[in-house]
Amino acid sequence: MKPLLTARNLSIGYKIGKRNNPISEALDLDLWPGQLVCLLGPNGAGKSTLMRTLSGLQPMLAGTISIDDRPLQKLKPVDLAQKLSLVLTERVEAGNLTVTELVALGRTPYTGWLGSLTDLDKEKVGRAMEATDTIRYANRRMTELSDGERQKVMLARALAQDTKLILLDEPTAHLDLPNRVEMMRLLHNLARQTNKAIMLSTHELDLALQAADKLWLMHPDGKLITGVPEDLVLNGSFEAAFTKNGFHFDKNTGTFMIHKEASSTPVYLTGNSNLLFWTKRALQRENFVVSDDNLLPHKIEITEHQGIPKWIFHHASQIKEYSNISDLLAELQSIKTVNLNFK
Amino acid sequence: MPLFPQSSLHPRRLIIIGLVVLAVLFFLLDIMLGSVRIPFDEVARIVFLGESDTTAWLFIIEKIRLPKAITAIIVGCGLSVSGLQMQTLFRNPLAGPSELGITAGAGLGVAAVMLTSGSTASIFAIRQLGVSGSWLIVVMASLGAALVLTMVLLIAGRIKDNVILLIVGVMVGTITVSVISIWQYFSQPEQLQEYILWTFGSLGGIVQYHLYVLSSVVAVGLLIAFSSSKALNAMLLGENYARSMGLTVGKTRFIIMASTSLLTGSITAFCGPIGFVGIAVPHITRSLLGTSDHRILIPCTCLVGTVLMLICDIIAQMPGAQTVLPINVVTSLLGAPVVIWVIVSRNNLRSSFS
Repeated sequence: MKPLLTARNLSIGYKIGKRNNPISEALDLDLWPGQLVCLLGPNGAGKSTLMRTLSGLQPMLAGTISIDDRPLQKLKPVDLAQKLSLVLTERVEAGNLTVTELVALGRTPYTGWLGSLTDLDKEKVGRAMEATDTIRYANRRMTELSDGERQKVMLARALAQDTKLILLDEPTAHLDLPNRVEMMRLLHNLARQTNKAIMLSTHELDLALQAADKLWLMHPDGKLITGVPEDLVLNGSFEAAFTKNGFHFDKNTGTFMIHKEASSTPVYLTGNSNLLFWTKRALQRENFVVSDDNLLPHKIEITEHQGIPKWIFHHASQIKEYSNISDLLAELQSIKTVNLNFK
Repeated sequence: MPLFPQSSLHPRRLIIIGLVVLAVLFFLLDIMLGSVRIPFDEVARIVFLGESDTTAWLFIIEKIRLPKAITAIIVGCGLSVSGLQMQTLFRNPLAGPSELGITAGAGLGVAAVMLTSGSTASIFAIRQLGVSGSWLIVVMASLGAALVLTMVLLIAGRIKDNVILLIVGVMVGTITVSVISIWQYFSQPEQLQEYILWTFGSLGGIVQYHLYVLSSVVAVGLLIAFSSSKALNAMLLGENYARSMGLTVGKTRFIIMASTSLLTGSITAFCGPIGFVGIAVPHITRSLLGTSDHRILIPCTCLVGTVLMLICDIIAQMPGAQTVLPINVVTSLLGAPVVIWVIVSRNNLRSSFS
């Protein structure tokens, strides 16, 4: 098996006058058939630039990109359109088109001079709409669709283009959580079932960790690290790409936690796992450090009696009981203030 | 297959048939009405059989009214299609030949011929010139139109903001008009008078080879436009998508610009700057047919443009009266409310461009 797209020693960025202004250099990348690759990185790391460069919308500064063993620059636009399709972030302003008409535009690289659809074209359009579940609103106009529905229609258009490679720029933006999950699941299945190479950029870190076969992590300094998601999490690359003050990546849960400041008050917490998890979240939001040091002056013990939870707060030989987190937090505010006064 | 309906009773077909009937009806009405009354059956006889008992009627219709009606059709088709192409190219509902200063550019080309090449080259002199003269003015006007279009594209081509594009267009148009004004200032009064008469616009007086030149240039422009309808459809999704679907955007832009310049340039050269047809007709057509498919839109825009231009010409002749209004006044009076309607009813605008 050979990769569908290879990039060697690639430099991406912008040309200002005659001077190159590279964002990222010496990139070696491969896209294999049947794989879903997620491109992750903080805002401004150059995800869109990489996407635009790989798809030929923006010239590369140095290096080579080859698609199906042919260099990208030597491919005619029509040939390229039969190998690579795109879903972009820009809003399509063609509200008068029906969904079917828009998806059928995906057949543009294959149709004749007037763009008439053959039976084969119609079949491919129909199949693309079935795969994306857009066939339900086939006759609606683009203006009548929600953002999530539009996004699926644009994906259907890319599928109708029937290319081995699909690049998607933030396809999950504007979507609500169920639709985001649905979109990722769809792309994952598409890659597996149709043996396409699909690459997408996204900010959905946890979804990407779950669905991607491979991650491309873009660091703010332009370094790009590739690998299987789990490897990148375990060797710390994942966390390193998103380092910023104020939060950290929890390897145990696979989520980012909003950070407590160094000056925050440590609290010892013990209790039932389910209650413990949510109490911990609430405490962390309030800038407390949850610690397992039981010699701390502030201790919270959570007990559950006949399904009714109870929070017991030990503080300077006082013991108080609470029946919900809200009251507990109200009490904790006081110890925070006291601490501030001491400083 | 339910996805692609092919029913012959589609409402779109009925609308198109209706438009064809209207076009034929207004064509005959346009020829019939005027300062001299000619009965309908005589008109039909002259048009379809080319014979009549009254030679004066035969002359009036064959030499004056028929060429004028045909010119109206050419103008209606040409300006509307050029407006449609520009609205798609700029992805802007307010784009049109006169709005973006393209007509002014063509005017610059005409002024260059009229105001510089000595006293003989007034528009009436040009009409008496041979084929080469009419070609000269067509070429100059088309070049002028292309010049302005290139400038607007260069300045605002990358800006997607509707308002900025429009402002740039209006500014370039103003510059062009100013250049013409400087020219006028240093011109002879007789030349000036001819030029100002030309700016009122007229569908009349274009006969014989002038008509052949005009109709063949417009036919070429329309053919180019229709053959680029697939590209125009792809351009609806924006340049990046168009490119990802195998379109060479630079080439497509050039072809669309060439077609627009030919259509606007040639028509403006012969008939003067006719406003509002180019911007209004595409909107009417789109809302009438509810489609953005240029393979349907381009022929239908021609039909709607034809009907509208014939109506304008009928009004301009002011049936029953002895005077004739300049065609530019009538199209503006009829077209400006349409533009206001387009802007006010945001729904209509939204449905085509968002």
